[in-house]
Amino acid sequence: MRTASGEMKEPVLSFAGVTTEPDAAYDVPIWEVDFTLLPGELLLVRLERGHFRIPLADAAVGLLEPIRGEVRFRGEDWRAMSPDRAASQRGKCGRVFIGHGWLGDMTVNDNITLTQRHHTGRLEADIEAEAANLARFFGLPGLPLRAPGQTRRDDLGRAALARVFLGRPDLIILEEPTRHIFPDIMPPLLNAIRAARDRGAAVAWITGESRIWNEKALHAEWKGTMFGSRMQLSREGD
Amino acid sequence: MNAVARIGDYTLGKWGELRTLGAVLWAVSVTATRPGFWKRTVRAEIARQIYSAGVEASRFVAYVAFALGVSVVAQALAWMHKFGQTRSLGPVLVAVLVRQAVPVLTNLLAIARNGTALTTELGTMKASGEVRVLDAQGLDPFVYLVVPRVLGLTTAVFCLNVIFLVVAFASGYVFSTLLSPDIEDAAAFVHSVLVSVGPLDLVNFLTISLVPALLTGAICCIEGLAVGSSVTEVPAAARRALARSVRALFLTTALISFLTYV
Repeated sequence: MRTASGEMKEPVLSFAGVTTEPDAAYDVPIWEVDFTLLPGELLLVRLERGHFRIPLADAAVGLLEPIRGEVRFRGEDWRAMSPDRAASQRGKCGRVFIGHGWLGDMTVNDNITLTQRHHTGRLEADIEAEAANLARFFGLPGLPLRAPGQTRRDDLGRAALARVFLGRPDLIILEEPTRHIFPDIMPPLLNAIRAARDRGAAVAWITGESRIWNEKALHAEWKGTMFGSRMQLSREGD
Repeated sequence: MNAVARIGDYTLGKWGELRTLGAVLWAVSVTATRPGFWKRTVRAEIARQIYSAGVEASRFVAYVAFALGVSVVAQALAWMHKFGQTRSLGPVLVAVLVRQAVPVLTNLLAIARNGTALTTELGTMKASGEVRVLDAQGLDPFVYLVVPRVLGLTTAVFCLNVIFLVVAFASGYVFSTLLSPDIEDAAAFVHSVLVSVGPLDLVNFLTISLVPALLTGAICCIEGLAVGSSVTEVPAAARRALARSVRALFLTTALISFLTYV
């Protein structure tokens, strides 16, 4: 796909007519959703009042198979990937989960570094050093060493952001990333997002908060408003 | 629904369970032989399973083995000595303990101690969304949760079998020397046991140690991951896993013994 500057870029994530089945795990399914995120682009999605869980993030990482349409990550349809390939590609996606996104039987520290330890051959010391830097960047004194159940929820919110940016992911999905930590988290979060976009990552930020929706410093290329299952997409600046 | 339909329904249900079990075991063996499977996170998970199912259970198993050794081996030794049949002591002990009692008992202990815990752990993870969190991060739940648990439990059960045998024989011998001071010396006892173990006994011991443990691991993982979104389903899943594992244990033990010795 050609960008505004005329440069050819492969989309990081594209939804083409994606429709999902109603599922009790989500407040609404999605219907005929279309968008393409190029490297460095940000899509801000505003949820309808009273809706918290939509299948957009699960569909984006190939966890949820659409009944119509296709979701492509780095040009590949999730459905066409082998389980190993899909798992490896998901390792390139960072995500803040809307619910409790932690494994209870390991420490927050291990939770943060798990994906990198699994998908890469990096030295554990390197991974831990990068994770500790990110944790400090997001306002933690260091890596939280307790289990998620014994960690304060605002610390968990900051740790979730450290996990997302660890390992320089290609796609960053943020589901209500500022919950419990707004507004203190905004400056480091915006800086981290800017740096990630500069190196070519695409970002999808899903929120129900007007203050995030109206945040000018986000510089979102795309804004999508959910009306029930449909998403009305607009390009900023158009 | 009439009786014939019920029987048909039951049979198809059981056939479906069996096929799933077979498919999981096949997938475990195929996955475990792929070089890409042995990532450090998976290796750590296997080690954690071996520690939890094996090392942590070893004291408990040793305690049961000690008690069994005292009650069974000591009695057999003392009575056979009394009747002057100490030469047939080895074959008798091998027949009773090595061929059947120890593998079955160890597997039963593993089912009760680890199988139920495994189902509960996976069921709770599934209900609380942790399995989905793993999947979303590219950690295939089958590779990261199922395969390490099946392999870890099997390895642990085999090691526990060996510990059980050694402790049972040792405690039995020590206790029998207290009961009957003119009992043969330790070297002769060990020799009589070792010469009684034939190749078929070794094959039988290995298979009865490994196959039911593999089945237990797979059954408990299947039942745990079959839990839906509610934690109230976990106790029922644990009960089903327990019942199916015990049934599988006795069925496979009987089948293996029949195939080995008849």
